[in-house]
Amino acid sequence: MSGRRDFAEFYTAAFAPLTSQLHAFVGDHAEAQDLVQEAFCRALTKWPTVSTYDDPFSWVRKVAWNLAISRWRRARRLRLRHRELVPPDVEPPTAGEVDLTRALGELPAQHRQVVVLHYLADMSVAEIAEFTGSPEGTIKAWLHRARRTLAGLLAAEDEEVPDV
Amino acid sequence: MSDPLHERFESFRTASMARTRPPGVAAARRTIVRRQLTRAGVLALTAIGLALAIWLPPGGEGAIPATPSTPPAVSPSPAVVSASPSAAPSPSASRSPQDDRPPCSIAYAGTAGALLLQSTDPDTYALPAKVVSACPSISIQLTRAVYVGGTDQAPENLSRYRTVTRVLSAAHPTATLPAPARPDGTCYSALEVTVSGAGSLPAVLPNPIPELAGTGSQDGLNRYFANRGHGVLGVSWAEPSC
Repeated sequence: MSGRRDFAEFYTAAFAPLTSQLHAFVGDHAEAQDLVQEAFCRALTKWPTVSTYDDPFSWVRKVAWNLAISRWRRARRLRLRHRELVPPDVEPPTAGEVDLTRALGELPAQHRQVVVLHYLADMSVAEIAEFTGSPEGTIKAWLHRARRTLAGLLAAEDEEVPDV
Repeated sequence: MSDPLHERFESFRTASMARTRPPGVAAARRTIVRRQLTRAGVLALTAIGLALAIWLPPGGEGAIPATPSTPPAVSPSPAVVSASPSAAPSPSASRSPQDDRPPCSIAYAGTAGALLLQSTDPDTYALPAKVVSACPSISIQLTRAVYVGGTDQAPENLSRYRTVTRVLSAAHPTATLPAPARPDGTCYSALEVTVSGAGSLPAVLPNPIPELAGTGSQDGLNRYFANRGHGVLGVSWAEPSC
């Protein structure tokens, strides 16, 4: 079957980019890794089928986002299942990461999803509309509001930094 | 026109990816194996418990009698199909004289019948040898069905698309249920469920995927099928990927 892809290769290439997207959305890097790992576990169980898709990454991305949005993360089950898998020597977040995740946390979930998909998944308005099942006009409006809110929040945080 | 947010997100992406330490494919495989073992263990323990419930007399007094007693009556529930409905059920040789319950009634219940099945691989089901010898007339129908919904993220209902059915009996104590065909593509919600128990499955069911995905629990789905005389043996689902 020529359409089959190697799972390990796919995992290595896709894990970090997808984690950065969910990190921005859920605001917690370890939690984002848990969600992405769970999505890959599901892909692995269905790999004979998923590997034949034109774009297996979009399947895993959809599963990972569904997991994040469905608030399964709040049950903390995944965290308990996978926590031992996260290496302890993870670097602390940068100031820029903290500022952006804090600002993103102020946005409604839908606006946050749209802005993350636009900037981190590099998706167009049409692609986001298809991904979320919302009309393009709605996506444009959410993206516009999210940008405006984010710009204001980040500018305010920049002003709070004292000059040294 | 430059977008100042691009730079922010680009820095975020770089920092976040640098911090990412994937647990690895081996960890994913271990997780899957652990879940399969947990499921198989629960199934096996419950089967052992039910098999003991059939073999031991009520009240827990005494051992299994060495000689057969008066043949008790058997009254199969609607959850079971009989391979030969007109044939008289065979009595169990291991029942206590004090036990006037139908000997295989526990196994005949749809949900309990499900628990008697010992599965060695995900698609294969088998009646334990002890249950077959205790209940020679036992016959359990297994059905694997695919339900599909529309392209909505959470359609209200799912419709039955295809089913595969096998019957386990003393003559055929093992059966393999292949996955039923699905529609082309992935742009639809899909639920695949394997159940024991006779009777047709509902043509339409309320979409359980949001609850399955949201809580990780299939209790609601189990109840739904149990109320219709079916025991859920396995379930998997997929949300639309368009």
